[in-house]
Amino acid sequence: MTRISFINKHLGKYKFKLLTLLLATISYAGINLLANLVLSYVIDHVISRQEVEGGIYLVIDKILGGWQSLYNDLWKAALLIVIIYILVALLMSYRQKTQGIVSERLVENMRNDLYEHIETLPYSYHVRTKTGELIQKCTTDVDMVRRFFAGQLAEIFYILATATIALVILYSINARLALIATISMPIIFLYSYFFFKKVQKQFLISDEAEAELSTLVQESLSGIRVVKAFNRERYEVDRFLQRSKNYSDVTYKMILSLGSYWSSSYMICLLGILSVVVAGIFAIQAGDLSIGNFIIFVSYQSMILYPIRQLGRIMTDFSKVTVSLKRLVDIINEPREDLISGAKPDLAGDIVFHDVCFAYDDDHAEVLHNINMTIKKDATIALLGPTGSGKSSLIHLLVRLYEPTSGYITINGHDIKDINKAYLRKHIGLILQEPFLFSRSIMDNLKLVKPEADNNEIFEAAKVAAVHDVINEFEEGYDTIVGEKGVTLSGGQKQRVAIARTLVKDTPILIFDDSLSAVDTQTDAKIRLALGNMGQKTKIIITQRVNSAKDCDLIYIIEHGKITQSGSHDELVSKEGLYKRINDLQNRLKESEVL
Amino acid sequence: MARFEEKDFSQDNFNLKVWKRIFQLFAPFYKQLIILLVLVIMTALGDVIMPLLNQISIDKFASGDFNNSELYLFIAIYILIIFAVSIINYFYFKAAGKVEMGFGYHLRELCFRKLNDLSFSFYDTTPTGWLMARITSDISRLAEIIAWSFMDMAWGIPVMFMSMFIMLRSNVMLTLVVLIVVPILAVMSVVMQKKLLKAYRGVRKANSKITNSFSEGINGAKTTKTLSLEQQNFEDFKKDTSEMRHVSIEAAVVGAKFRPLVNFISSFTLALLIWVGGDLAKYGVISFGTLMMFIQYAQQFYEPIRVIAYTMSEFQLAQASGERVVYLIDSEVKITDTPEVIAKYGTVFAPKEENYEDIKGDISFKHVDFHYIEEEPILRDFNLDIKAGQTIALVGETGSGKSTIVNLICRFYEPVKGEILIDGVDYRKRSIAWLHSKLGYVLQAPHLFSGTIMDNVRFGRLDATDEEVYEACKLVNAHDFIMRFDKGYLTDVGEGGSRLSTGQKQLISFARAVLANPRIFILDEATASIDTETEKIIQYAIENIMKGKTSFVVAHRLSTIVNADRILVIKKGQIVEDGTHIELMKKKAYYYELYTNQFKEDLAKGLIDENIDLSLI
Repeated sequence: MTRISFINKHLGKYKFKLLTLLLATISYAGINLLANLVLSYVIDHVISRQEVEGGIYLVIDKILGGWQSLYNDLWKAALLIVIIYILVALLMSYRQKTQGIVSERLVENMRNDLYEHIETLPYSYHVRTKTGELIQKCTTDVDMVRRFFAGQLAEIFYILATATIALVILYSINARLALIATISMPIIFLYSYFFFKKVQKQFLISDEAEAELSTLVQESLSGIRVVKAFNRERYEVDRFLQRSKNYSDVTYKMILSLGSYWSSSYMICLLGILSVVVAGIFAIQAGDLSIGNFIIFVSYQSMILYPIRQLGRIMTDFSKVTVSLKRLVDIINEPREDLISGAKPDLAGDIVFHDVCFAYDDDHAEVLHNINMTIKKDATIALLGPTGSGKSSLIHLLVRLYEPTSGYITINGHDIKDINKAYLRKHIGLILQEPFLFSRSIMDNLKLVKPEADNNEIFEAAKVAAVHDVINEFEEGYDTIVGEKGVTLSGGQKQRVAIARTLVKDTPILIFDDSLSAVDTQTDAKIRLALGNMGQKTKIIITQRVNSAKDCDLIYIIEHGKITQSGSHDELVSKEGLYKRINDLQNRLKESEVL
Repeated sequence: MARFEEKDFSQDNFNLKVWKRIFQLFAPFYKQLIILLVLVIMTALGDVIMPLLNQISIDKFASGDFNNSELYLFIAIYILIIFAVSIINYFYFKAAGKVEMGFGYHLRELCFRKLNDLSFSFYDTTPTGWLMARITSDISRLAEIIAWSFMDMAWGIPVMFMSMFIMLRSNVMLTLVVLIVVPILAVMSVVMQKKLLKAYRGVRKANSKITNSFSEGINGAKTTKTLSLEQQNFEDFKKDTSEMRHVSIEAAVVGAKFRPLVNFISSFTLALLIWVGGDLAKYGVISFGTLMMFIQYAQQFYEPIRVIAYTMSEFQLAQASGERVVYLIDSEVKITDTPEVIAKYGTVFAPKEENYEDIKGDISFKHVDFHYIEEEPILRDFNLDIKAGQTIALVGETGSGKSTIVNLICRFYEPVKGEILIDGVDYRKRSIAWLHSKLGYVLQAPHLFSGTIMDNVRFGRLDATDEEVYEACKLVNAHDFIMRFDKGYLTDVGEGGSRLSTGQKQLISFARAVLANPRIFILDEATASIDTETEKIIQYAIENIMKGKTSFVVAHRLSTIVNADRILVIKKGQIVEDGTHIELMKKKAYYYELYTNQFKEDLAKGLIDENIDLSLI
């Protein structure tokens, strides 16, 4: 997708509204110039009683019914002015309202599209992407685009239309004088354009200095214990003042630059106006210009020059908008994960790994080698092994967060690569080791997967996860908000809430990816006992604790991406291997009280 | 820079006390303020003169007789005025920028000094984020509003009065025509400005909601996937964006009424001027130049009104910011030295180190009572005697009081009753800085500052030579890994030390404490879940580095403290067990229970990770 098609898609039917907005802006610019013409007409023709020679004044003369009759009825001219300004006000109001509507509709669609897209990007994308940067793009870059459509775009049209129409009128009045008036326009435009290009750097420097200052404050305050314990208050204050000074200095420099720009460009505008005043005076002396038209020249000159002074700034902003758009389009062009196609077969059956091998794309070393494994329906199995042995990868393949490099996995005889991903994941409850809780109430977090669940279901799930009592101890119970804005839960509490959340879903297959690691041993045992009473479910427990594995129907030992041993607890303790070593040790520990 | 979201304003009423205090704080800038005011009035003068020049150009030169020398004089004066106006404009920017930056710097300094003075109880109840917002956005806003917005107001008022004066002198009737719409415009501006502000507040709120949703959606993407929540989250998100669109368009509609309406009302002035003024010109009562001048003044007249209305609406924002900044600057420091102590030992910022006594390291608690909140006493009549050079381990559940004991020793808090003696003297008789200069403090979650490794270690003793830094790092076994970095000691550790592993950060924080060469060493272990690497480091530190100094270890990992001279088991603010590891194990009470449980679990985990040498058992 290109930038243009990106905008086009999200504008949708508001394209036409954008078009009418631009047309309205152009007419607004034109009508806005009329009032001065009426004034000039009154001065030259009605009051000074000169013949109307032609051009636009003839039209005004027609509308007002001839200058002779107007002499005693000046109110008609006043009325025309009021009518012109009613039109101006209506168009102006229409422009502001419409650019609000267009830009907001546009960014609403853009935000929705971005969000939906990001949510459906594959797991691997989220693993490799820096979240802070992505959030930044979705907020700051979108806002750049919004601001452009909320004003700058129409402003460019307004400025160009005003300049063009005014110049046409001026050239029709007096071409030589109009030429003099034109000279200062490119000067002021180029001056402002290059100035803002240059000053961009200073803005950046000031922003960076402010960021540095904030970082220091942040670090210093969060490390206040260290600062105080080491008696470093003075040192910190000195460092702070140095950065604070630096920020003040560079920002002051920036203000000076802006000051010199605004005052010098003001000077250029005023000199531009003066050039028209002087040339106009000579033209009047030569009899080439009327007083009314002199006023038109002077007033149009300032109506053009001051906006053009802004144009340079808008153009530099425009180049930033294109950069922002590029970044957004890059996100949208990332391929999504297919959550729509695929079969939805009955998944009540055995899970079988057939010769499964796996390597991450970016790292060619294989993490799983020829895994063959059968997990009987409703069995509880454990995967035990050291950190980095490939246990988690195995599970990621099962829910299709990644695909095997070779081999395949079947559930109830169906190859999972043919199964709809969303459907598959809805049937498998996977609890990650570091689960994410949304910053809402605990109740909302638990109801996420099943919004229609009643409170009893929630309480039951929380009881199984041994977290019900913990939650009730909070002042606001289940309504406690978790995360930044509420209570910070400990690692173990988070894991238990996550377990409860998955249990609410009531899936036939449950996977604990080391998701009890931060829970103490007694609670761990309690949870496993409660799970056992939950009825028919296939359970896969990934763990580093022998105790957690002991009661499982089958235990797989995974080392270096291979299954090195499997069997029940009793079988494994009778064979040489990792499992036996651990078990023996624990027994020896129980016997020996020498510690 | 992202600004913090503004909470609802505390009040709309004028708060005289706050403004008095703000202007007190502003005192160093009074002189600059006067310069600024003079410049502002000169700028206003320039703006009022311009229409006069145009009047002359029309009446004298466009329609009247003149000789060329008069014209050249006029042009020369015109150019002179242009230059003068531009230069004054520049100096105005300069002066306002100076006041803004100077006042901001001044307030930041006051706030930050205060923050370094405030005691821990303040930090317990005030989130860092709140403080950040005060020191960044609130101060910036306050300085900006005083330097620019108030000056805009100071510009608007003279512009209005001076142009009124000139108009009145020229024609009373036309002046009345111009002024007729002023009250309407003024009332309307104030009302609309308030409405706009309210509408924008709604937009800001909706916007921060969207930022939040994005942040949650992105941070929680992996969890969302495993729970298959994509569609549902998206539905929720759509509600946020549609609300955002709704309030934004609402704000746009308010804005779309405001400016056009003002324009329309001002147009009546223009229409009336053409009508009434045209009649007057017809009969030669006024010249065209005068008519034009009135038209220009009429068009200029609205700007000051708008500026004043805008400043008035900003005023509330400034007051809210001011209230919070003043609150911070005037916060009471709970733990502070007595005037006598300060006289002898100086302050934290200006210490008199020549008067510092050496510390041997004997520490005693004498009948100490302590509580954070009155209803929840932590320590009651607590007594403890520690001999210099001992390593003391504090063991107990969360909330038992072990961290409190350490906090009291560090004088992060002071006893509510009773006293703490260091080398037999109540530590309140000496300065806080004195105590902290003899203290080595290591948190289990080590806190590093951005900068190089060298900077971070030297934080322990600022005047240490490079050699001394190397020595300290060698002592804690950090030297080797540091030298493995390309830039060695000049390696940038990243924000909060993010480029180093936890173990590496830990070693550096030990080196930092070693370099300080403290008499009292504190090690605060925050949680039980630490990796083997960190555990080894802590054990090494306890056995080697802290030897010979009075040391306290708040321990969760009991394996790290088996060699401590004394282990104190704390329960509900009381010492329930006291002895060496061997003694307490023999006792087979709480400590024994705790230790065996942890050991079993460790073994299971440790074995799986193949990190424990089996032959040792």
